[in-house]
Amino acid sequence: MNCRTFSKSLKDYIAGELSEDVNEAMEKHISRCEKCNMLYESEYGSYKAIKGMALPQNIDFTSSRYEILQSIDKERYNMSFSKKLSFYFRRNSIKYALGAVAIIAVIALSSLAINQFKNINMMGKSNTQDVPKAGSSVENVSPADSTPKDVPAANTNTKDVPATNSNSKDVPANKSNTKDTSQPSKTQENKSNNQVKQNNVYNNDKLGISFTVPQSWIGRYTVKEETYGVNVFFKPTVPAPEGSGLIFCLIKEGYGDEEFLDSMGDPKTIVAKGVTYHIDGPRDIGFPDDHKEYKDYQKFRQDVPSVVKTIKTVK
Amino acid sequence: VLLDKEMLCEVDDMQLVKSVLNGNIDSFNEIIYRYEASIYKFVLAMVKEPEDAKDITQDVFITLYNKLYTYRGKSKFSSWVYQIARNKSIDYIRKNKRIIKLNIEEAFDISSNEPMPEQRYEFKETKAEIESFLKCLDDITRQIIILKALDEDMKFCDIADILNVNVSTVKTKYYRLWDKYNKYLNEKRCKAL
Repeated sequence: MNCRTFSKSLKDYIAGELSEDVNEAMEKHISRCEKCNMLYESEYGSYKAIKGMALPQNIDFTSSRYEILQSIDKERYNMSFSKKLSFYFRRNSIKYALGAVAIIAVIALSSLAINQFKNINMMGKSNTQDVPKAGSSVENVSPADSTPKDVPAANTNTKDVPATNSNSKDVPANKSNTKDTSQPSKTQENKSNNQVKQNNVYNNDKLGISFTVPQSWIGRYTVKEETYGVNVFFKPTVPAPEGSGLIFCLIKEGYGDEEFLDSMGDPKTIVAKGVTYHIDGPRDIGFPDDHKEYKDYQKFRQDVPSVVKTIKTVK
Repeated sequence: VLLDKEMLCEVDDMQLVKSVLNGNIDSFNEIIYRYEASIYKFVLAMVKEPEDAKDITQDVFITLYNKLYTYRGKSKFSSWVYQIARNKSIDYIRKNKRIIKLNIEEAFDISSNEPMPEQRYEFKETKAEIESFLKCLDDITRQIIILKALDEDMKFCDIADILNVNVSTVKTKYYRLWDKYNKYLNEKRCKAL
């Protein structure tokens, strides 16, 4: 060991912070080098002085062991298993508290996640309701209503659905009906070429009734469910008096006239889910003849027998 | 763990703790025997009142016994005992609004036993100046030098454990004080010449 290394390690040596090997080397150097021995004496003097500042001298210490042993509960740790267990739990109380907090947090987060998941499911369901689906139980149904917002409107598919747009100005655009909040009853097929074909089948799973309408009816008729049956109305673009525009109806047996109308075609009755319906139509003029869409209404009336033919029961 | 009375002086602290927790009061007696004197010295250095130091020391051991089940063995048992003593002393100082003073007079006495006569002379001459030098010490430094003075075997890492600070902080503070003291002595020597 040289003098430089010695002086560097001197404080650690005096403070007792060196390993035994280094201590031995330091001691050897002190015995050989007078200069370093002087340095050691000086530093050791300071060290002792600092120690002297810290501790009181001439301490008169008498043990208080007896008093301490008298003051403690000697049976504290001489105890049953249950008491030891309680000490164990008290000792680890912080761990358990943290564990409990973690469990509560996990429960809270998972319930939140479940709620979120439910919301997503509900949104998913509502989306599927937006997508026209055959057989949904509805009050106001029209093919146009079933057009979902994210699906191209039917009026853009002029080639595939010529009937929809062939009615010039009098034909209400399907797009214009998209704001109608009524629920859809038609199915749509979204083809790869983004053109939409609308199915013209009306399906009511609740009542167990189904029928098919001509293409020209799409977007221009409404179905209203009543306690006594189902009414199918012509839907003009220009408002008409309320209750007018009835094309045909299915009336529960006992609610309407027993006399059948020949103009309705066949069948005259249908039994769905144990209920007998009479297929009936307007007994009066049905729609104001001064209305500018009166001719359209008449055309619809003429189509009724062909529609009635398609009426069938569904499960 | 049930230890024989004759074996007690040979076992380590951790075994003693386990033995106490199993209801062996003799093991606790051995713990008192091992630490009471040094804890009393430490408390006395902190609070300066022998009678109060005695009461605090008793209180330290009663608390130690009652809380022994919380000792996990992560730090040295001696450090844990000193931590309790330190906390009790600080509580006492706060309650009594006492200021820890270092023993200037006694520092003189110690120094006067040193073989260097000039040093003895200097100490006697500069009493007031040493007092001002000591006033600049912060609480942690005071506690470091007390703990270091208590036991030759007390390492800086043990002190760091007791005071809950870094080892480097302890070492730096202690050596800085040492250098400051040396510088102070040199200045005095120069003035004397």
